[in-house]
Amino acid sequence: MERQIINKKKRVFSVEPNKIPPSEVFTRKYTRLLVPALKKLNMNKNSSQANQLTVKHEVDMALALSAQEFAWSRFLLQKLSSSNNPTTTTSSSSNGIRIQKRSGKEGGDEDGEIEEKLRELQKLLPGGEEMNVEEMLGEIGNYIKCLELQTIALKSIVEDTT
Amino acid sequence: MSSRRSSRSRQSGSSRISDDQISDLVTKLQHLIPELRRRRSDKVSASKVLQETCNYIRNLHREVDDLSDRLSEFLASTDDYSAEAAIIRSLLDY
Repeated sequence: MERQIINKKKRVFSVEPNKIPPSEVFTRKYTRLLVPALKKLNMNKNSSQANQLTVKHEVDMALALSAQEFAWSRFLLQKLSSSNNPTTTTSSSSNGIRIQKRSGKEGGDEDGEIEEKLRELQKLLPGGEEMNVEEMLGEIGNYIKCLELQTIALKSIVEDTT
Repeated sequence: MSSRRSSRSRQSGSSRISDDQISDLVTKLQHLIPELRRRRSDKVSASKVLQETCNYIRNLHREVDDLSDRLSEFLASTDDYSAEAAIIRSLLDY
């Protein structure tokens, strides 16, 4: 019964019901995944650090599950599922493909800087170090977008609860 | 003057990055990163764009961490988290 009420009050953005903007799709998925997961958590009354890690784990998990069409989400999911201890979103792997310095150094410093920044960027993207350059370039844009949407969704959830 | 358009960039598994790829990436990032959109200058160095991107991603990570901590504080302090109310409100907002 509640669902019917929700549907009636939902604003319609376009005439064609299937054309929901991807950003909205993501944000809804994310919220619907995260909120029930948070509700299931047993919060530890004594250790706030344990709670932080647990919640962070769910936050990251919801991100990975909401964006499964992207390669980086699979890497993130792997990382989350394989560790019992929840991790932060920064990658710690250094076994993957590294961006190498090009030869032919005209204006050498600039090139070196760019390579360095690219490596930095690679580390920030989940699975970035395991991707080839083409893939990484394709993934970085949607990763940034999803991070932004995640932030918006989280703000909205936090505001609802405080 | 040797050409920097290396034929090695044609290998799909290659980790060597070509000028074209860099310039494509930079263009894409310029539209994505708010800081760079605001400046609207044609002559932004690739290195600067990459630096701003890294900073932006790190900031987003920090913001998410911070929001996540606030959530966890809230959850720990209450036994009575009304998840349904939160879901309904979020759905109505969209």
